[in-house]
Amino acid sequence: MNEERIAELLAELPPGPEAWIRAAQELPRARREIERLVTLADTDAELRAALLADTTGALRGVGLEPAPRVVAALHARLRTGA
Amino acid sequence: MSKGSDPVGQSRLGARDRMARGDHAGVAVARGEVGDDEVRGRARCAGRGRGSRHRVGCREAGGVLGDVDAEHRRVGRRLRDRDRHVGGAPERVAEQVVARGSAIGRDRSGERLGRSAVGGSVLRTQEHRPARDRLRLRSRTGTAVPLARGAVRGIRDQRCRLLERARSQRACALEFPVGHDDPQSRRLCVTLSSIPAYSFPGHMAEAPTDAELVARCRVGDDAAWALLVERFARYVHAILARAYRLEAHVVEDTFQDVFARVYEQLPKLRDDAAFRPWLAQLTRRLAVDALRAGARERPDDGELIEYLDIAADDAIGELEQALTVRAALAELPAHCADVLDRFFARDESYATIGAALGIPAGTIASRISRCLAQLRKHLEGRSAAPAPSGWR
Repeated sequence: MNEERIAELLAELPPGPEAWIRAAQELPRARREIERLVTLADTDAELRAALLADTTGALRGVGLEPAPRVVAALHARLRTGA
Repeated sequence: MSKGSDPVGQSRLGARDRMARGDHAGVAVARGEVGDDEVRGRARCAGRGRGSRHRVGCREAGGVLGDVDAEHRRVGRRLRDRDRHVGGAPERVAEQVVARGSAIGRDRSGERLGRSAVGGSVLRTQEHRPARDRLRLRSRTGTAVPLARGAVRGIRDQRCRLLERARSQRACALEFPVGHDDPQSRRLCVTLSSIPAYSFPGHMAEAPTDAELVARCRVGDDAAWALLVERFARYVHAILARAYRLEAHVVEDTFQDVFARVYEQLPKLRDDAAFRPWLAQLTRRLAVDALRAGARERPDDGELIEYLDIAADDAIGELEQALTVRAALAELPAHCADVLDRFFARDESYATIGAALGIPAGTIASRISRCLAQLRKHLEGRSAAPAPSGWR
């Protein structure tokens, strides 16, 4: 493989948007936090109502970026558990 | 404006064509950063021979010749200034310099030197002695003092931390009290990070293989997951956006779907070393699903999806090779990996790269040339050695 071919191949893989990568990297923690919030909400109806009313704020509260996908996942879990 | 009335535009178009044919120097013209004539000179720095024509080409381009010694002298001056300025910690800096010089450099007589030569205190060392013997510190009185084993380990650990930070956060300047926004400090950092981690025997210097990462992810290691995502994000993104040509908003959703599925299905993966083909297959399946979901509104797209899926084979084959090159790139010294990534993958201009790395824009072409040659050699070494599966 000569240097020009190497250069060509390097150009084949530009970086993706950083926010997407960060969201994918946060996936395990996001899932854990969602599980924890849902477990807490299972025993506390008021908390569940509060979480449903302000899902974005709740996620921020536990240090997660409230990406639409994460918000939707928490919402769905809270509704399913209700 | 028509092509005929826009010579600069023509030049850029020509440069893009040349880039498509593998002439990477055409990129600078295409970007409008420099004139075509200037680039012809730079192209000789960045791409071709390394003999006298190469050197002339670099001079023609107005760039500073890639004189490693000169760069070392500059860093040496910087270090000496720092010694005077910081007062309390000259030894630490000197140790770092000696440590980073442990594996590189020869003087004109061919004798191996530590890179401590950059600080003005040349330490002649023997090539095959153990690392701890090679690491010697010249004190201010001029006496060469062998470093204790613990000090070597400290340097090694510090070096690896530095390298890791430089690679992942590009923030190694934080190691130094001169302020990380200072361009000289950044350059010092970049230069200090030029020793590959594998120069330090006995330390986990190489990047973990895919199989190792997968195994760590399985037991809930978040850091391993983050690294796995970082390693394959470009690959997944390229399959979706380039091989299957999905629309931007679909790419984003599918990208997240891919990693969500990977996270869920990783425990079911039978062979950890087969992660890469498994990921490619998963990504392809989700890309086709996304195309089919879009095709519900356009029933005529059925044939097009089949065509895209077949055509994606070639594109993915190319991306496989690109991934192998990236894996080799990750094993180069950080300053090389960084400059090549910025120029070729991120498509940054010389000016942008120079500002980000704190180096004169005129030296970038020669640095690219040197680093490309180094990458080629490294790739040759990798293909000659029996390769473990995965990233390595």
